[in-house]
Amino acid sequence: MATDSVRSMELAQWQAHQAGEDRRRRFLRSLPAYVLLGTFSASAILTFIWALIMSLRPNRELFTYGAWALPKVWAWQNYVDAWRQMRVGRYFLNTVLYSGVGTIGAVIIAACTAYVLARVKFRGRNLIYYLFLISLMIPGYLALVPRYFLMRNIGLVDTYVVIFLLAWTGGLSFNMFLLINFFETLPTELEEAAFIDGGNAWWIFWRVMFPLARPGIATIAIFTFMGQWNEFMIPLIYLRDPAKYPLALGLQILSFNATYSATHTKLFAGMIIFMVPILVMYLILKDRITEGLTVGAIKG
Amino acid sequence: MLQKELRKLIWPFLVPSLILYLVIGLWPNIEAFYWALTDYDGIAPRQTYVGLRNFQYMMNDDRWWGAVSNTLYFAVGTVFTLLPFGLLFAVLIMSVRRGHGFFKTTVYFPSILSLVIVAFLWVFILDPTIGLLNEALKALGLVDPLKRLLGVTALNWLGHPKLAKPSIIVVQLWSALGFYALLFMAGLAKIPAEMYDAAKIDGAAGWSLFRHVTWPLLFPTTQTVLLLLIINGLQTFTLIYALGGGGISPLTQVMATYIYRTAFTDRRFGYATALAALLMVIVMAFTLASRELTKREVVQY
Repeated sequence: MATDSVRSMELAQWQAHQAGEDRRRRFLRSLPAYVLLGTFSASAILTFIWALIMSLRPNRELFTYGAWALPKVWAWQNYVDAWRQMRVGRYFLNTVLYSGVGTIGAVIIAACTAYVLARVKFRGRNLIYYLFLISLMIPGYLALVPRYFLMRNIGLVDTYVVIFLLAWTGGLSFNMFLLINFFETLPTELEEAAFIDGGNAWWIFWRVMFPLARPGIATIAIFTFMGQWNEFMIPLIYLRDPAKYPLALGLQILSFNATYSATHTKLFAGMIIFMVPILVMYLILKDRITEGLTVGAIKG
Repeated sequence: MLQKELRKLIWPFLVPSLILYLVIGLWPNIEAFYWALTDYDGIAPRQTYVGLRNFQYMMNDDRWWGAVSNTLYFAVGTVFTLLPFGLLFAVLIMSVRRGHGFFKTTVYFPSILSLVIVAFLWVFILDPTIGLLNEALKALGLVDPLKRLLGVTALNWLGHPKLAKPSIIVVQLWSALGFYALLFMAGLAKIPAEMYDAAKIDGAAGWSLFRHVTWPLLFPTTQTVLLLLIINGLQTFTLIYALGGGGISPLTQVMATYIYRTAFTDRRFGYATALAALLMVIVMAFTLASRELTKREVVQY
């Protein structure tokens, strides 16, 4: 009896030892993976922390103590100066406006178009479907000049409207094809039931189908918003008046001018203001973003 | 009956967006083929038709061919860095037992940033006098050995003819790695676990498991990633423009920035459109070539 329990204890110890050995071996084998992943993750996090620290240093410290030093004086004033003097506040509000109106419009237009093409049968539907498909195959630069003159001729250069219009039409085909696929997964019985209950077409779409398509619509909305928030080329081409610049364009021009005026650390403050809303959004919606990305990117 | 009711949606839902799309989205592309045959400074009342002269001029435009060759360098460079590293990071993130979510979140983080921010940060990291990198190298006493190793007189990362292009590829790698790793992860997640179990029973492990199970089953994803890398690489604009600050040196000029500059700085709108037409041909040629070259039996499972 006694020897038995001793033996089973020894066995348990031996098993525990083996398990520990296994764990150690597994750890050693995955060590290179952790080192590599850790290095890259650290480069991402530390770059952000470094930018945060830079944004809180007085500009003259940058040249006396170099890029690695911590602030001797914490210059919270950088954010105030960036927001007011450097017009980052203005750029921020413009960016909110462009991203907000751009995203809402783009989503509604894509959803309405997609629904009709997915569910309504009429002559010429296939033709229209293929017309929308064409623009997915043409690189964007071909129409650069003709589109600019189209906008210039109707007097839209340097207006808010041109930014909205290009946000609504820019990703239209792509968003629409994603949503067509989404609508096609929903059963037609839903519409039939809503119709029998006396719903008209308008009601069927807004009250039944649009809410059901919410997961697809949310994905499109998130990616359109992030794309619009960071959009650079369209404002660069179409806007003249600095009061209308979004953050991406305003800060790019400021950073170019900073070579001559000593405002580097204030610019870091501006860049932090630029990136924080997207960062917060990313941290809140990260699962949806990382999943949606793969739906969006695999377009064949 | 339902169809008759739903048809009421054609006018309010489809027609406005179709008109917007045809006028703003599609028509300028068609008009571009005429623009490419004209000369226009943006001031004269209308364009002058010049036939194929823009294309003749293009043949002798050394700065354009410099931009074409830089673009190809960047596109090939990103394919050979982002494809293997994207795949490697995807496999590693999938294989680690702890911190899976943390690594996924932080590796993708640089990809959510505006390229304007990425360029701004890296200009400060790579600055020859006050940059993070050179200060660190100085502190470690590595400046002179590195200069000798690279055969340069100064570690001017973005300005030296030998260093500028590789440096930009590193910046691109940092900024896009997370995006491509995530694409590969989605592909890896689709491979059924039974495939691995079956292969393990047959004695496959480690490299042979990757070589004979993961790689063939992941191939459709690899094809997509390759295509995206080529298409995005050939049309890269914002990063190069923002890294260049005010003016882009011929060292790093790419097709898209040269087209932009020809149109909106030099005000040669017809010529810029001719260049854009050639860019389109190049993109389509590479798209077809990558499809052809990677064409093979798709493994069914």
